[in-house]
Amino acid sequence: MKKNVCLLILALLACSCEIPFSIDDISEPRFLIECVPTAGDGAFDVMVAYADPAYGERRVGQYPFRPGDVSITVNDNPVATSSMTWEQSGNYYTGSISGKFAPGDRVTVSVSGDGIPEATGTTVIPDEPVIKSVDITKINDKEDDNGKRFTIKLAEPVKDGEYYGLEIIVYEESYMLEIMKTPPFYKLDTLKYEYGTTPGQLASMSDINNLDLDAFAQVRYKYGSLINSGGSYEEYRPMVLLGSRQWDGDSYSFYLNASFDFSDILDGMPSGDTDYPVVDPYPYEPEPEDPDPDEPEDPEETYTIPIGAKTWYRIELFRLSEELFNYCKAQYLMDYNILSNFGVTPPNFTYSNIRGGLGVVGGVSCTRTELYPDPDNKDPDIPGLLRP
Amino acid sequence: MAAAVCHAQTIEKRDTLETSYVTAVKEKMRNTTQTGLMRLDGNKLRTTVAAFGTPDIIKSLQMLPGVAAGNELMSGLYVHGGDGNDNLFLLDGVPLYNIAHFGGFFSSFNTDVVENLDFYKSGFPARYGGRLSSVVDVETSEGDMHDYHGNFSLGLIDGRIQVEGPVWQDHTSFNVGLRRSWLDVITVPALLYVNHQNKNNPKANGGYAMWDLNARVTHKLGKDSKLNANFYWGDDDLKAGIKSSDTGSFMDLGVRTNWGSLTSSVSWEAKYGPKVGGKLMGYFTRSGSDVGYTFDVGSVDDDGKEKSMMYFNDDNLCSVYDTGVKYDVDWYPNSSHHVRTGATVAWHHYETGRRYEQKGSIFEIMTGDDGKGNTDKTGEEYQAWEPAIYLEDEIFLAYNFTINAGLRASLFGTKRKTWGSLEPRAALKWLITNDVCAKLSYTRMSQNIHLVSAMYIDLPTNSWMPSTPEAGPMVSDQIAGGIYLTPGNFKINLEGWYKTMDGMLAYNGANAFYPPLVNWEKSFTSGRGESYGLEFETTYSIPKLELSAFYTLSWSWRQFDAYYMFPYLDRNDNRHKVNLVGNWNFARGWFFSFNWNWHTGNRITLPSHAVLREGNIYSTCYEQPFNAKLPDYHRLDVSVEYKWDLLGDGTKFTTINLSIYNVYNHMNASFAMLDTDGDGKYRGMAYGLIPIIPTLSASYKF
Repeated sequence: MKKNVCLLILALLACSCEIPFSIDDISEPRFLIECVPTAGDGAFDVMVAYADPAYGERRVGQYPFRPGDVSITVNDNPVATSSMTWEQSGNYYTGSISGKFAPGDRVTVSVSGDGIPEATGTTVIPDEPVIKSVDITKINDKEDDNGKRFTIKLAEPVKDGEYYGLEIIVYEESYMLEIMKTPPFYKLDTLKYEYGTTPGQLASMSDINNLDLDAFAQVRYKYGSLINSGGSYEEYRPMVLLGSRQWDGDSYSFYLNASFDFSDILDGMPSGDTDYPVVDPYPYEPEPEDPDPDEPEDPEETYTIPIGAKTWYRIELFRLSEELFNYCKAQYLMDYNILSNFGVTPPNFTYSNIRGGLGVVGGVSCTRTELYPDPDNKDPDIPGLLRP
Repeated sequence: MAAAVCHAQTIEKRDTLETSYVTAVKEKMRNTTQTGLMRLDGNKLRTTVAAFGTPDIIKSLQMLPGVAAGNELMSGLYVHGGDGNDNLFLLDGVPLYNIAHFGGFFSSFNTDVVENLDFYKSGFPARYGGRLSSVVDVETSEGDMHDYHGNFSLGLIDGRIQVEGPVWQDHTSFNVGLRRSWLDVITVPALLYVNHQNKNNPKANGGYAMWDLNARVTHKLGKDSKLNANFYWGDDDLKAGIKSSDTGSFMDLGVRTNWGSLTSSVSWEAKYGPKVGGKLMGYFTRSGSDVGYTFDVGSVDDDGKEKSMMYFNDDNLCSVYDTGVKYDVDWYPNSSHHVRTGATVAWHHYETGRRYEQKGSIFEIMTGDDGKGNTDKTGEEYQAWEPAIYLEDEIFLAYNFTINAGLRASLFGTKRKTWGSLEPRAALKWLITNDVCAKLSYTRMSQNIHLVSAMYIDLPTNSWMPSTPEAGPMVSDQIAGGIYLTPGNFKINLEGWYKTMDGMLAYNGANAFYPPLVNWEKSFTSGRGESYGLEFETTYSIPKLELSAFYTLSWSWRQFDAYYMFPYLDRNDNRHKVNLVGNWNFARGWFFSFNWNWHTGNRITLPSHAVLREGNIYSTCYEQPFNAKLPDYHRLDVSVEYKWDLLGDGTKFTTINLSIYNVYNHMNASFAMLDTDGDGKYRGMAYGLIPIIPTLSASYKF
């Protein structure tokens, strides 16, 4: 009897832990629009997709709309898409709109189709941000660390309701130093790193206290389109999303190459230091060749070609419309706010400014600045490597 | 006029009557103009079915119509579409900020010392203010002026002691209640055993304990005057750690969390004449938490003496302190008026910060240098002051009409901005017959403080903050009305409400146990809420048997433009809710209670659409928040109690109680995720966590 009771209790505890439930009725067919009108002379993309209810039958190769069903206006004047192509491997059309677009332009995209509600979205291209200066500070004096803090200053303090995106591209170029003493130097290689995130958020213990997880929010973006519009992942650079909270008045600071790990706790805190070498000569040691069995090895023979490495940066600062910022942040949080499903955190963002549909029509303006090594650098070995 | 005179007499008499629960409710229903009010008697609260054998005020309120409970077993109280952080909890008139232990499993109110509580969901009198959605006014019992009484209880996870009696016969009394969990007592031998088994491995340590102490001292100054001193101290302490030690060195890593509340007050109640009485009270309340960890590494000499060489300690702190004075006056100028007026002023102090201490480093250990010290303390402090005055008049009109008209005016001042609020309150009652009345009310409430939290659960990292220019006060407007009948042994209420809430805040950042506390308001987005519904309540009561049924039909909406441009249903939109409650004294000394809950499932956010991308890959997207509904929730709790009169004279009792939570072991959905069935089709998959929980408890009362 006792055994049976125990088995019964165990059976009761074990059963019904998983509870499948139907959610067939939570969605209807919709259009998804993604369009990022961008100020400048380039073209921006528009993508229109058919969005199946996630829990119903999928429609593949059956399109309830044609390119002519997509309407795009700029300041209420119709514009034509230069190409509107059906993506063979997907359920969507993409097109691009060429022209010169300026801040203040009002762009509207709408699409209608059989049996699906008309979807319409509107945005106004925001003003371009104006970068006043960028300061760089070395943050770690450890030999093997190249951590730096960048501080961007704008011409005007950031106001509530202003939204930004930030991309950092780091170029590292290598030069042979001893062979050619004067410019142009023989360039060995240029490596490009794209930093969309701020890995140095945890540059020191003091950052933990006010760790701003939002400052890690990013999306993949290239001029005039989001990653969802198609294309390979590599074509899109990561763009950090910045609301007014991340700005301290007119300035924003971020770190590169300043990763925080447990050893930082043990070794002590990094300290600020404004003097750092931009160009670091280091010995170049070629790969050893296979020894020629006919020639005896000369153990004394060694040769070194000194190589200069130079780093420069390009900072692209975007001013985003509120709707684009909200949409991009939603894209990020959908992937990372996994606790929402556990009922213990606020919901995933589900932002869309498409009336009757999904997606976003959101404007962008961009300004760029490039940071070269300091021309006043007095390093005697590599005086000529610095760009103006 | 005669009816009005009788009515006024009843109101005066009401506060001194010791009536049964149902009678009290009937009286209350007939004699007050407020809608949405329920008075729960302490005895009633102590006999409700309790999870883990510990009666719980919040769990009792969760059963009432118009209230959603949120996550199972938590202390959520989502009243008329509220957000859970918009309820005013008063313990003997003092605001209590932290109302739960252990992440919400237990409320902070020890039912052993509770005399009664008034729960307002609508029709708030002007004397209450500061929160949007409800008022829970808990009053503790005065100690007996003549004899000593007490109660000892032992439940599954806690023990309780309550003692009361005279300090000075007929002049001064005390009532003290102490409650403590003893989970740590269980975990100590368990950890000892585990550590003994793992002789050569690091030793684990830890435990959890919660406790609270209520104390009340009452001193009669005369026939119509008395002094009260009230004290509450509740704390939670959670520790966990691991320590390794071998020849020559040791390492100790520990985390600890401590959070709790303290309130104290002194009040003087007096009747200044046959028609005027007043109460002057000064109070202090504190709620705070300390979440931290410690890391210690050092050497062990031949004698086993440990020398710390590197020590690291980090504490994150947040606290809110209130100091205030209140003065309330009751005045019966004539048989047609009952005037209440008063003033209060409170000083709020909010603190958040971090305390950091470091001694030594790995480098210093390796080189043999003495450890250098590094201590730091950072933080933010905010102050606010909040004066308020109110006036309300209950006017007895002709044709059995009664109106309660009131106005509350308050200021909330911080360094950056001062807000003013004018809140009209009105309630109308029509006593159609002796057993039938109708009521209608309108109230405006404002709330100047916000709970900064990135989670829905009650975490010690949550912090209260004052309004700022970017995150201003919240305001609600509510209209409620209903019909109330008491035919024979029945009580039948049908009540409806419509409520709007403006300036609500929702966290719009990434997952975080620590919400950002510097510029916290920029982590939140502002929106509005709307809620409406109908509540039906019926109770059949005869000696030895009471049966109640509650039903709620409600809608709860939100609109946060940063989430979604259009209104969407809230997480706790439980469209239908049914509660059946019964108490039956089926034989001498034997009591049977049950409580059956059923409600429409909570809502969650799941992907709504799939878009075929390049490479035959589908990506999912979300159309709106909380678009999916979890499976319906239902649960049956029962308890059987035998009360043994030890001496047969009704003075000493022993009680054995068997409570079973979730009798038929229905695993209700606690959370859900996206899943695919065998055909690759998406479906929801919910997970239930809380099984059947039987509890045996015993108590001795004298």
